[in-house]
Amino acid sequence: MTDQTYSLESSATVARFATAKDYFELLKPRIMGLVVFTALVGLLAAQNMTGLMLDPILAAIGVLAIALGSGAAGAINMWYDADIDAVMTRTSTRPIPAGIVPREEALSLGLILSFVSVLLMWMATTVLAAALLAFSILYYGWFYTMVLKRRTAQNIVIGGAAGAFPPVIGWAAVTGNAPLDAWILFAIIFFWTPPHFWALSLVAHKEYEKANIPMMPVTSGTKRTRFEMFVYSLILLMVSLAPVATGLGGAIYGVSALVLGSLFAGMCFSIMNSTVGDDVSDAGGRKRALSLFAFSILYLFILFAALLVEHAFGLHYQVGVL
Amino acid sequence: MTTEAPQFPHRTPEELDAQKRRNVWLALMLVAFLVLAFVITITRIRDGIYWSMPEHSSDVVSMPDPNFVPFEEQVEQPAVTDVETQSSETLTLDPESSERPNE
Repeated sequence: MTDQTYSLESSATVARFATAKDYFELLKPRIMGLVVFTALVGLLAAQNMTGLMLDPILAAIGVLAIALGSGAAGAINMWYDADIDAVMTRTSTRPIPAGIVPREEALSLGLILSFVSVLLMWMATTVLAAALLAFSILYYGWFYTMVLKRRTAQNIVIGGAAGAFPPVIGWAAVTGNAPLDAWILFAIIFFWTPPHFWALSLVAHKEYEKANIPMMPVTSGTKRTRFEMFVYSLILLMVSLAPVATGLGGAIYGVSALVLGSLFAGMCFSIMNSTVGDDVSDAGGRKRALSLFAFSILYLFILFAALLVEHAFGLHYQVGVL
Repeated sequence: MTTEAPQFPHRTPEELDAQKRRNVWLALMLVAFLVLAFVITITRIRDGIYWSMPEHSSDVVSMPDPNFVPFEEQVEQPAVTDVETQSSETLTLDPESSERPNE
C-alpha cells in the first residue's frame, strides 16, 4: 500500500475506480498486437513449410495463449516499473502511476495470466510451445525488467529477445520443434529491436536520465547511439534476406525485405549523419527520430505480412538456394 | 460463548458498484477459461489426437496435410525404367501388413 500511496501522491491525476479498460491497458495491447501477428506468421509458415496442419480451433487458442502471455509479461513489467513510470511523462498516465490500479493487483493479474496462458498453450498445442512461452514471459518479466533494464545500456539489445520469441512459439505450436527457419524469424525481430527502440529513446533520453535508466543515449551519448542504430540496420538487412536463402521467404518476401531493409538502413544512415537527439528541444530532429520509429513498426509489419501472404494464400514462389 | 457479527469495512455505493463490476469480470474470465478447456478437449478428441498417436502422446497435435507435396518433390522425377519398376515391385511389402494396428 505504501507504493500505492506514493503513486497517488506523485500523480496529478485524480484516482478513480478502475474499469476493465484500465486492466487491459496493463497488458500493453499495442505490443500484444505485434506479438500476435508475428506468432501467427510463424504458425502459418510452419504449416506451409512442413505440411503439418494444426486444427484451426487449436491454432486460434494457441495464438490467444501467446497474446495472454505477452499481456502477462506486460502487467508484471508495469508492476515492477511503477516507480520509474511515475517519473517519466510518457508513462505517467499508465494505470498504476495514475493511481487507478493498485500495484499488487497488476502483479496478481500478471502471475495468473502467465499460468493460464502457458496452461492453455500446453493443452492446445505442444510442450515445446508452452515451454518457450513460459521462458519468454520469464525472460521479459524477470530478466529484462528486473535484471537488465536498470543495470546495463545493453538492456534493450539483450532484452529484445523476449519480443523475438513469438514466431518461434508459433512454429513450435505446429511442429513441436524449432528449426533454423523459426530462429531466422527470431533473429529478424532481435536485430530490429535496437534501432526501433533507440529511435524513441533518442528523443526521450532526458526522461530516461531523470528516471535513472541507463539507456544507450544516456550512458554512451546520442552520437554512439546513432552509429549503433545504423550498424544494427545493416545486420538486419542481411538477416532479413536469410529466409530467401533457406526457402522460407519467396519472391514477394525477398523484394519486400530488400526494398524495405534498404530504406530502413538509409534512414538510419541519414540519422547517423545528423544531430538528432543532441538537442531534445529541436523539433525537426524529434520529428525525424519519430518518423524512423514509426517506419520501423511499418517495416516489421510489412515484412511479416509478406510472409503471411506467401504462406497463407499460396503465393510462395521459392527462389531458395539452400 | 457469544458470537459477534463480523465487522466489514464501510463501503460507499460507488465502491460496491466497482467491486461488483470486478466480480462479474472475474466470473466471466473463469467461465471463458472453462469453455476454452472444454473446446480444446473436444477438438482433440474429435481430431483423434488422443487415440492415434503412439502411446497416446499429447505432445504432437498437428496432422499431416494429405495434399502436401514437399518442394524438393515438386520437380519432375526422372522416368523409371522397366528393370527398376520390376525390382521395386518385388521389394514392396504387403500394404495390409504395413498398416498400424490401432488404425
